[in-house]
Amino acid sequence: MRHGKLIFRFFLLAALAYFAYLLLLITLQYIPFRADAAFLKIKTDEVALPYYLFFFKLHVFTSLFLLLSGVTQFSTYIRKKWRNLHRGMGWSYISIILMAAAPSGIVMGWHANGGWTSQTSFVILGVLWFLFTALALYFVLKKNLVQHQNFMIRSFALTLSAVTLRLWKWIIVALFHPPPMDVYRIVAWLGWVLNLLIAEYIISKKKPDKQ
Amino acid sequence: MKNLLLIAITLLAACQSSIKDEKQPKELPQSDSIRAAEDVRPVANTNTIVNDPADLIGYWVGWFIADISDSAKDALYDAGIQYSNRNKINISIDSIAGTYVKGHSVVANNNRPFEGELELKADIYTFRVKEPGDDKHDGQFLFQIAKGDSVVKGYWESYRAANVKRRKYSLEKAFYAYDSSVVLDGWYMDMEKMKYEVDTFNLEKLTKEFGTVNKIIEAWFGEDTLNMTEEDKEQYLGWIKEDMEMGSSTAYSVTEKVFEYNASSQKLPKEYAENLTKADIFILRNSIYARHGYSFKDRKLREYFDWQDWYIPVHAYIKADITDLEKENIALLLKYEEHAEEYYDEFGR
Repeated sequence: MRHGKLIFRFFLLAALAYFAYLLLLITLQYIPFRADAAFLKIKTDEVALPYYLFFFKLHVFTSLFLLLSGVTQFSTYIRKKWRNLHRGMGWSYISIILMAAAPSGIVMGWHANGGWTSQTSFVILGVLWFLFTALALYFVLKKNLVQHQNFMIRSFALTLSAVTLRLWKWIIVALFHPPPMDVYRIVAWLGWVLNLLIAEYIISKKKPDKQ
Repeated sequence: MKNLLLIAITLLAACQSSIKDEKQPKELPQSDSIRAAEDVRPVANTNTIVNDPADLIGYWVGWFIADISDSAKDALYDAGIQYSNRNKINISIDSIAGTYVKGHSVVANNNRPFEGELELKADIYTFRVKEPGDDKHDGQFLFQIAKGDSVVKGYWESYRAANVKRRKYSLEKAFYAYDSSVVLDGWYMDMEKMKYEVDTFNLEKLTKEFGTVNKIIEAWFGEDTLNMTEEDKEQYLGWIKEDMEMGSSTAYSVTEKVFEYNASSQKLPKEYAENLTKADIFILRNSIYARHGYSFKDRKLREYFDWQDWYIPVHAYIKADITDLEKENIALLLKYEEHAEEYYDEFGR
């Protein structure tokens, strides 16, 4: 049983590392920066806005670190033995989200492709991301570790939507070949709502941490 | 657990080819106003029946069909050589001075001049004309039309050894004028870009799924089994087996959306363009060139546009007469076409 759990964890980590690598490749498409590369190619109207590219850069160049700093926070070993690492990573995770990734995500969500369906989804995603992360910070400062953990789980579930959204897109296209913007509208919601449900399930099954 | 790992690993491996480098911008039909041959537009009269040499002047359009034996075709097929069995050709008779004829032909993105002689004998006009010979696809034409007839028939033979050494044609006089209102007809599909899945025929499994043999047949063919003999049913099951083993495919084809807009006469909304499939965008963009009489290099595009009644290949180079509206639409479509090609079925955006 314990053995199986270890393999499972190792596998999750490997998968996460792999997807972080894919996200790195996506990010690298914008280095050196070009306003007509990849995703931006179909955002010419938005690129013309004075503020859009600023928030776009803020979002793509900071978000990748969140997967890496976020994942270290869930290791009990690091939490207990290397408390300073946990704190350092935690501070960087929280400040990147609150000051850069979430606000810029909300701005980008406001201008999302696919009309109001996907715009609503991405704005809600950004607001919840900000809120959960802020609450995680609030509770750790209040020394309420149980609530701190719960909100970090929710926050990270939303962070992972960077991966799950793209994965769902890939699966849906492979299975059903719908028109591209329909796919986008579906994954805009599927990408994070399901993550959040899983997070709530994990929280409900969580044994109280003995600290 | 093991299964989960297996599924996950397959999934990971499948999106391995995920993020691609940016492709170079798509090559557009070249715009080249210097090409003298492109400027030749014969001044034709409206007679489609030939009674006089003046009636011969103009575009003669029809199928340019490979005229080689079946065994030669089989040999090409076996060798995996792609060739066009039929292309729409435009043989343009540009001028006639006594027995001296000048003209050009446009087919498969090849615009070639020719000259030669015209002979009238026993009320039959016979043309013997030659292409210059400095292009590897050059050859000579021999065609005829009888007085009072409207169809030109003849042959073309390549100077050099070629996969298709000889072609035949029967052409009718056609009149080209740019018309932004002509619309697409028929479904574009690229068989080579299809993804195949082959099924195995398992009668037990099918019976389990549908209940009885009769129900399988009814579900498959939508036909009543009441009056079928056992032999009939056996026959039907045989067809189902063939069907399944032939495999089902996911077509690379246009959707009904492609018929919603005319990219030459309507401004395409962004919301429309962003939800089109690769094939939709590809065909919409090329429909603009087709309306301007562009002769396509791409065999698949020829196979589609050659069948449009209104389509006549006129230029191997697109003239600078693409309208501003069309330019706007092309720019929009190109943006989404490249995006769809690079990102539609990939992990990432």
